[in-house]
Amino acid sequence: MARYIALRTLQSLGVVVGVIVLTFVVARLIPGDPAVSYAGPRATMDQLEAVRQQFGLDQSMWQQFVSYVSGVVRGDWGTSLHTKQSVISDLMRVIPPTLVLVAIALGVAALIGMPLGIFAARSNGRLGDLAAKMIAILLVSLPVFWLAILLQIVFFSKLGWFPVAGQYDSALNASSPLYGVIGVPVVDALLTGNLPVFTDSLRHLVLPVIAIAAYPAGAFAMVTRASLLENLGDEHVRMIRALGFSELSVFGRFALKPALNPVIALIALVFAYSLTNSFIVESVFNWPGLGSYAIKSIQTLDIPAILGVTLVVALLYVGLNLIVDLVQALIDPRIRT
Amino acid sequence: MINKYRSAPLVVAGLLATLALTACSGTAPTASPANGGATFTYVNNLDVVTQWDPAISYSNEVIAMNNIYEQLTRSDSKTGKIVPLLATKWESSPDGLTWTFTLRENVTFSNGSPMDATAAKAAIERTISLASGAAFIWDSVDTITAQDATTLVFNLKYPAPLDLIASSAYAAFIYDTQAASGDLAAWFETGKAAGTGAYVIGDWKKGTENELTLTANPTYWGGWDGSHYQSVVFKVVPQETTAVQLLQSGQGSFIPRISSTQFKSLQGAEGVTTAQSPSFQNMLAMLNTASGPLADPMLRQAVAKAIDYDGIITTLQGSMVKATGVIPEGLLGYTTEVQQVSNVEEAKMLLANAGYGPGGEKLSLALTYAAGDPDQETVVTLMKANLSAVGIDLQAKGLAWETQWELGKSEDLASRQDIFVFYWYPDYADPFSWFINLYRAATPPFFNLSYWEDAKVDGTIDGLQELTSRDRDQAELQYVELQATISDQAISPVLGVINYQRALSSTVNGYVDNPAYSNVVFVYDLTPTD
Repeated sequence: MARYIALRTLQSLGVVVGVIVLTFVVARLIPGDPAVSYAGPRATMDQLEAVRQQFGLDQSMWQQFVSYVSGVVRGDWGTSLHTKQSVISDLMRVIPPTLVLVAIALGVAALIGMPLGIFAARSNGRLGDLAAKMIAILLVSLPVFWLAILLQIVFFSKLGWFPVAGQYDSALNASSPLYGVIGVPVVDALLTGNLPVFTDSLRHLVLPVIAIAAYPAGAFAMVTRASLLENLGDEHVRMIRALGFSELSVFGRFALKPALNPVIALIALVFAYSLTNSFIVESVFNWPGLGSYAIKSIQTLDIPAILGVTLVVALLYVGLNLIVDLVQALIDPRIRT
Repeated sequence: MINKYRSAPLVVAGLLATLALTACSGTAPTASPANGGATFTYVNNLDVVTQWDPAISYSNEVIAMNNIYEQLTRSDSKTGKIVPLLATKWESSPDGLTWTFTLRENVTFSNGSPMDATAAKAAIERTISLASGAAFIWDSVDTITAQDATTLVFNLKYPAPLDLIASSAYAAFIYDTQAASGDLAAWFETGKAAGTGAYVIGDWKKGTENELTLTANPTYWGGWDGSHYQSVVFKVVPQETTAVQLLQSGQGSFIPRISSTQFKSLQGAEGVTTAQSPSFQNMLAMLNTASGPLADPMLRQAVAKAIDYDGIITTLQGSMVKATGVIPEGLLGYTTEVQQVSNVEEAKMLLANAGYGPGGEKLSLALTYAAGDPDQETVVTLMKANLSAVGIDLQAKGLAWETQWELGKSEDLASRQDIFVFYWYPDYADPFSWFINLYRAATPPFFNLSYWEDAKVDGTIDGLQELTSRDRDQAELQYVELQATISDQAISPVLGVINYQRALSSTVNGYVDNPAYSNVVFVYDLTPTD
């Protein structure tokens, strides 16, 4: 197992290095002057030159790459051209809200999708199976941008049940000031025992979580169903039945556990997909996370920020895949060999 | 024995219901106005603050800075004149080289320090010395003298309309340079301010939805008698649909720009007022006079006549109004004498005379514009169709501004575009900005992206500021003449003037649009409905 962990970790590092190199080269190849983004559209020649020197943009590509990589290793990821803050501090600010949003959404998706898939597998060929499949397909088919706006119109404008956007009602700052811990109100409120802000931030979470959770919920349902049905048809299951085990044991102990393997592998894939979807959802719901930051960085050709976002997403994705692989190896020893 | 699997869906449903009930138990969205008589909520689609230093600030934060800081003068959109602000009166010497401003008495900065001539001099000198942002507006200034506590004297290197310049939305703020005990720039960076305006910084949370809150400055010289907003919240809402919903629910007071479709749908909507007015910002198509086919004036004329200017305005459904000449309405030199007229037959004839069109060579032109700007995309699509109708193949490329600009400034003439579409607007309410930046010859090119060189025109442009400060009527004639020349030579067809379409809560009273301060709301001047 230790050898497997070491090998997978090395492979992951190689992927990250490759992403850094590729992204750096591509970002530098895009024509345009990032100094204009920093100095503004009316900057004079002298001002632009000063900015280029300040950020090393007047150096050769190789010098810029060496500076960038050595900075990354030292923890200096450069200065964002559109926020004028260090990229690291920007990312430290925007990552937690996105991670909380996506994690809760995936949790909700699993809570809905897996039972839906199990139900479909148990109802195989009957009306329940058909209904479950229809729901799952609908969930994966809904365009997230459209779903987000629809949720706002129905649950905010028409019904008034949930807030339209934001993380919590700022009016609560007067009566229940929130003390920051990680910079995500729902978590900070929970950790500091601020019940009014906690319940209000939960309300603010509902619509964006639903918007992000829809696709993975449908995907979990379909994969759980398919995987279960495949396992239920296996020889070992037939043998277990023949030995007289109850249907409950057959289903729960002997079919479900191996069926979870592809579902766990799916988590990494839907995490990446959900992270991408969160870019759009954050924009619609004013969620101040990585997605909003990435969009602004792209719009302003903010190369340091674009590189920072890409590196973070790569690290998250590679890290999650590594964890998934290790968990799978733990569950199924055959994978280690 | 409980069948765990049969009951699993019920358990899940129960958990979700519990979560939903917990969430729903909070306070429902309020239907009462956001201001409640006290708070004005500005719903902006971009982050508000990129720079806190009033000497350097040159971006979105203008909407907040103009409520925290003040200038010596202000451009009044109702009268079109320059009116007193921190200066109560001013005069210039006959040669236009000396300007004397009398400052308002008993004005203090928000930290209690007096705003006097010494403080004002220090602020402007610091802005000039930092030479960043829009500091170039003070280029004409040689020395500044604080003659006494309320008398500020500017000696200029050349005559310039300093009263206008001092009203600029950028780089003209008067602030306390002694506000910080240490590094003032670093002090500003932490989200501090030292202005004389009606509001002070209450709270600043960068990157959050309610990014900035301003609260009433208790020592504001204008006083707080009568009904005023006591606080201003700048809310960042990138999505227009979300912003409109906030406005309609009473959680927003003002949306600075909305699409024509939304504007139409909000007209007559309950609780919402819409307002529209032409800005000082226009969209121009800079034709390449230096290289490529459009170096031929006849072909430039053909392009100018092929464009359907009325069609553009109709298609944009109110987000632009028709332009006459380079200078937008409301500025010195605006004229209706210079008309842009579409004439397809004449365009075809001009093309034929130049050897293009049916039976001749095929003319292909490269156009660049800013990708992601819906108005530019629509206009360019229309231009493509217009030019195709006369036999010109228009290759349009949407690029990020930085890319488009770099291509336009390229030293390789062959890689430059034939037509450069972009916006221009002045830093202060004066048309000089167009001419010095877009039409005066510059090597290498900066914003003169028609690459036009005309020594006589350059000479005229160089004298405009002096003329404006000395004889505005004569300056006006000069501007009209320049616009006629530009039109005759088809240097840069003006595709339209941006029309600000805004939405406000009906609880906001007294809003007057001021195109000299783009998207700025002077909140102190508004009256909330009780």
